[in-house]
Formats: sequence, structure tokens, C-alpha cells
Amino acid sequence: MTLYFEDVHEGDELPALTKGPLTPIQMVRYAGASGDFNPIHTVPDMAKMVGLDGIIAHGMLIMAYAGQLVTRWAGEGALRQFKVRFSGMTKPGETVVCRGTVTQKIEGGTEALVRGKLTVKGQEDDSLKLKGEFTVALPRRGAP
Amino acid sequence: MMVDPAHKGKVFPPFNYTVERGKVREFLLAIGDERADNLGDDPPLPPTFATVFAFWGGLNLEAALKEVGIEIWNVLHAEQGYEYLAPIHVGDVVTGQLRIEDIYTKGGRSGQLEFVDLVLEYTNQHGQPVLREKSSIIVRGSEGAE
Repeated sequence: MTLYFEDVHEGDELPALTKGPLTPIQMVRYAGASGDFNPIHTVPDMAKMVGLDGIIAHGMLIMAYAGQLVTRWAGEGALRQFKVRFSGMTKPGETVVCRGTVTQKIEGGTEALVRGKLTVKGQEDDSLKLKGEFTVALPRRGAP
Repeated sequence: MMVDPAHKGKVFPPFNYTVERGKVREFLLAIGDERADNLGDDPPLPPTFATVFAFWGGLNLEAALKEVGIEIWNVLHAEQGYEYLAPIHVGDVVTGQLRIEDIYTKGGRSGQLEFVDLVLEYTNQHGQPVLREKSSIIVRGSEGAE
């Protein structure tokens, strides 16, 4: 179902997206898919060597979840800008919840834009994994 | 460990990546996106798919960082941002180039932290800019492991 610019209002919440629990296999899988083989995400001894308790998820895997939150709501290809700040590490076994809110509607340009902010937090302890901002372009009702 | 600020502005050799449908599906599966099971011939790319351009397109980030004195396992990812400038399709050949935009220190919980801003700009096979990516990384070491 298409989301139209007219259907969106400041303060609207995006349908929340829950992901997890994360498994070490998923991190191996993401490493292979993305090509990011930094060993702190897959090799426990290496993670310990740099002072971590064990392997941690790729920050980019968590950002991918946040991206999924936005594209499920706004549609594929709607994103114009997407930026996050990583706050906390995510470990195997954790489940995370992605939430977003519409902050601004912008008309008058070549595209009708909607801005929003989002967070990804641990479900168990509410720990912040990342927060971010996004801008999407949405179609107008009745536009050709 | 300090990164030499003289590396600011350093540009690395360009690399190419041909966008493959199978790789898009693999990526969607890896992030648990249900679209993986119902993919058309020219599926829209997931928002963070550009990671694949870089790592499978021959940008050796580990070697690039090493060139400026940074070991990849000492790096924490602080920020990541994208500007989507034009659609990218399966079959497109994107050319990317990595640049060190800035090197600076900033106060953190555990003292001064060293930041490096990396910018990756992509054009398609027609020379059209399609994507701009910016990553800020923290170089661990001087502040002690948390």
C-alpha cells in the first residue's frame, strides 16, 4: 500500500520493528553478505584481544534494521537522506526494537519530503544502540 | 596512538562494483528482510547496501586504514550517513572513491577521542552521482579499552 504525503502528520509514529534475538550465525552471515570481515564481529578471541567481552554485532547490521523500519513504512526508494549515530554495542542474544517518529513535512521543493527521527534500543534493558534521522520523498495524492 | 593529521584530504584509488541481484537477495536474507523471498528482477536496494559496493568492489578498507596508521580492529564506528542522489539498479556499475575528509579529536567519557571522517562518493556508469556516504570512526588505543 502506497504511503502518500497527505497521509503523514508531524508526530506520527512509524510501526515499530522488533528484530532478534541476534545470533552469532547471523553476524557471520552479515559479514559474508556485506563483506565486512572485521574479526571483532565473528571471532571471540579477537574480540577479547581488543578488550571486549566477546563478539559484538556490526553497527551496520543494526543500521540496516533501522533502514528496514523506514522502508517498510515509506516504501522502497523513498529515502533521500539517512544518518545514524551509534551509541551502544549489541551482543548475541539481544533483541532490539526500532522506533521512528515524523518530525517535519516539507513542501515546495521538487519533491514532497518528510523528515523523521528514529532509535534502536535493546528490548530487555532499553539501552540505546543508535539514534538517527531520515528524510523520505513521498508521492502526492492525485499526482500523475 | 595518534593518526597523523597530514593524512586529511587523502584520496584512495577508485573501485568498481557491478550491482548483482543475487547479492541483494543475500543481503536481505542476512538482515532478516522478508522481501528476500519475493524479489523482482530489479529490486530496490536496501538503504545500507552500499557497504557491499565498498567491501565487494575492491575497496580494501583494512589496507587503506593501515596506510594511515590505523588497525581496523581498533576502530569503532561512531556515525554513518547516506545521501541518496539517484536510483541505483541491478546491472549498474558504480564507481566509488574514498577520501579522508577530516581527522580531529573530541572529548569523550574516557578522555580525548580521536575521530576520522571518511567520505565515499559513488557515480554510475553514465558518470551520474548516485550516492554519497559519510562515516565517522573513532580510533581506539590512546584512551584505553572500555
